[in-house]
Amino acid sequence: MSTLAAPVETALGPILELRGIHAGYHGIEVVSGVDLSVLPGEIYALVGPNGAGKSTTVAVAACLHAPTAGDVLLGGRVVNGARPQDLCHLGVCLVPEGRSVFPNLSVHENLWLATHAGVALDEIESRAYGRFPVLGTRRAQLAGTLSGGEQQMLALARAVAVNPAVLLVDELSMGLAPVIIAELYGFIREIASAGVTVVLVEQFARTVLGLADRAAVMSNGKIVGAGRPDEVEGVLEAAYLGAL
Amino acid sequence: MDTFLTYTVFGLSTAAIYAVAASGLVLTYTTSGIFNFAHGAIGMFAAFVYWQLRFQWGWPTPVALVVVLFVLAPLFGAILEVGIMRGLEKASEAVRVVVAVAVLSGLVGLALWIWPPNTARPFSGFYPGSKIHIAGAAVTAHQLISMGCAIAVAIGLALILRRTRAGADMRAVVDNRALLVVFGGRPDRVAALSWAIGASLAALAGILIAPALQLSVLPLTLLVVNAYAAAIIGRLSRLPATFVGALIIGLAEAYGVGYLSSRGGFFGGIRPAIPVLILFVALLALPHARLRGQLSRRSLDWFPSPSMSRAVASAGALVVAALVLGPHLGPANLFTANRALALGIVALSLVPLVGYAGQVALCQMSFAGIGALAMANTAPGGSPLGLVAAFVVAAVAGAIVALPALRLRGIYLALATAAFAVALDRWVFIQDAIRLFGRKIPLFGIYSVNVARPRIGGVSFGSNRAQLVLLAMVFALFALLVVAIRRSAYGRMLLAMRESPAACATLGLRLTVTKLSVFALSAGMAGVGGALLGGVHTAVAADTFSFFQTLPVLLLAVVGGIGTVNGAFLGAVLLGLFQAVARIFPSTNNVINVLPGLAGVGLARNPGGLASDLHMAVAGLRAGRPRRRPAESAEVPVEWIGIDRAITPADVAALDAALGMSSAR
Repeated sequence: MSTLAAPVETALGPILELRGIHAGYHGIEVVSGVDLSVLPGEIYALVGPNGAGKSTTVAVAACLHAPTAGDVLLGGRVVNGARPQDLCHLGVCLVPEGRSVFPNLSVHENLWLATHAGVALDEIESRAYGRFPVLGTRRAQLAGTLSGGEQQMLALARAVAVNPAVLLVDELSMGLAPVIIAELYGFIREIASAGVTVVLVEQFARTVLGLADRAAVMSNGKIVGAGRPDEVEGVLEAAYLGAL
Repeated sequence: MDTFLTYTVFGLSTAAIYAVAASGLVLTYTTSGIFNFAHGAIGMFAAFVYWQLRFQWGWPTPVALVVVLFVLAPLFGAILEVGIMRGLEKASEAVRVVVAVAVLSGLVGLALWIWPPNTARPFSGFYPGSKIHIAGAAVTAHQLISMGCAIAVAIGLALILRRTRAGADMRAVVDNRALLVVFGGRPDRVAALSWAIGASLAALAGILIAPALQLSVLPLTLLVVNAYAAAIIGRLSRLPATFVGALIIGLAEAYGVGYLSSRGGFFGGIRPAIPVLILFVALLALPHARLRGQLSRRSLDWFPSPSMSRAVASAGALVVAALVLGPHLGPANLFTANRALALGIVALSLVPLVGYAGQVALCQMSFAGIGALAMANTAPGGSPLGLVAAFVVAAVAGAIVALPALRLRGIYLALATAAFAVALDRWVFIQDAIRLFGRKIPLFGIYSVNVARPRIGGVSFGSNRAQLVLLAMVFALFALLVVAIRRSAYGRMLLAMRESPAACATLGLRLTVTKLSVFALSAGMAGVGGALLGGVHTAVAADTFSFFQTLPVLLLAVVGGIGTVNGAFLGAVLLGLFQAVARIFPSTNNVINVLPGLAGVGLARNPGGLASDLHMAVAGLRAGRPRRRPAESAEVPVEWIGIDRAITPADVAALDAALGMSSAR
């Protein structure tokens, strides 16, 4: 059973690395040569306008989508060809875009499904309800009837329950009120401080840049700027307004 | 009172069997999104296998039961899922329906091959002869066991779905398959498991109902239509409501036997159609939770838009070919070719409806039957007005069917049209006549009806050779019509409606008019095809136009390629070839029965149909190299394309070490 440990020494190099990734749908390329390296324990933000290829990039990183070229490395090893289930067992967990809960299953049953990675249900439930008491009060309620914020809480709680080493979160803030986003970002910070590497994909860049240790800006399938948040701030405008 | 009780007991025991069958159907549908039209055929086949083991080879009952219910049926279900249904995740609704129908027709063909019909196969129920009396009504042991099985299935399924993680997985797959993968679940295993359970339940239902139906292939297979109604009342997702639905149908059928059968007249014959009428009503009355979800499904299909000049050239070539080939064909080959072309016209009628508009209808041969009747009743001398009447009457019938079905899509529409077809089979077509607007209109009855061969403008198409030319001309004309539709704004509207009715509505397209018109047009074309088919046979009976006859036509049209006129033609060619081969080599007859099924199953690998393959091959030859469609990846892909190798425990340990995690695996 894998358990979380302190952040890995950076001497080990990046925990998640994408090298020269090209990917697309039905022969149309949406990601053209993305290189990305995420260091252990950091919060990495991937921002960019709609259609920049961010979601496809994280789908490739989670082995949910096959790249047409390039390598995905986890802890320095190429994991191309891994099944997404195996990657989950290896500690990479993706929270996909949208409300990523099973709407017709209860809160309890949603958490139950996280046991595929090997953590006991009791443990998962006590952790989830401890961090988000509101979920505990809605244990038997169908997840589809929760509010948007509660659904994202459930999605995050369930994702953390599988003890990920790398957590990929796609559009966490979509459609949520600022106060809820603040609450969820607080949770992300807690997760990261426990040693989990977090990759956040966001369309609305400003807020997430305040949270991230490092960031990359994507536009038209390419990374157009990467570095500390204050360093990428400069390219944001151009990326969003289409100058790039 | 005693008779009432007797009928109630009878109704409860059939209801129990329907409940077992329907719950298997619901289970497989919810976990894989594929409505298993072959469910009844699996039950039928299992009943035959059980008969073989138990009665032919004399195995002890428990051994035979265990082998069929817990070994063979689950194995078959799992193989079906892994080998065939799994490939359909990205396929359109039409292809999904057709592949399931293909499995159905393959199983029927296989059963007729292994166990030739017209042989008595005694099949007694459990503990024959023993019965107990409850409040004056006799209950046989078999009936009690049936009810017991239903209760056991209900409890067992509830326990599996609510109390085990495998059950939670099954329900999670329905909600969000890709998400389950992200959390380490195995949707493929879940689906295989649910198909295994589903097949086992089908087998149980088949074995329980067989004694009442005397082991015969088609009634056993069609029995599932009754279970469809129960599944629809359960909205294809709720097992308790499914059981209630089964109760309603079982009891309605039993009371129908008890209190309706003695009456004469048109409505006296309604009894066998009760379950399908309930199905039709249930489809219309119940809200459909899954309808919205289906909007998000994307499938890539092939709808080429040929140039008009090319279409005219091809149409002309077909007529010339008929003129040239006709004199060289013997009478038997001529008949086969004529029949295939007439059915080809029916297949062609499916192109705008099923292909362009994406409306899966399973009653095309019923419209053909209506067309044949219209021809027979209005033009006994073969006046071309008869063909016009066939078109108009069938089109009106099509619109009437479409009207209540307007709000149905996908599988629900397929079921409603199947219900319509079976209701015509079991109730309307076999009547001697129907009174409409004070006029008596003769129907098929139990005999055949003479259909005249057309005589147009003084030219008689009475001979078989002339028939071939006429059929080629009509096919060519309709093909031009379909091509013109594809090229028109109306055609684009149909395609748009197929992709997203919601988007069409927001653009201000009138969906009602579009849907009604395409149904009417398609039914009209099928009606003309039916009238001409009647002429080919000169006398046709109701069973030429039964629900079962629609299946091979739809199957081969989709195998040919439902998105194109060429596809319909290829379907007709295949139909003709199969028949010709079967006639020339009678020993292959049984293989031929299985072939359309196999061809349809092949669709799971290539949803575009033969026409798209041929097109690609020809285009490749022209370009001097084989051209392949680019490998497609799904929008929410779960498979990793280009697998290098599987992850080994050594990898896990190495990665755990690299990730700084203690590895205790």
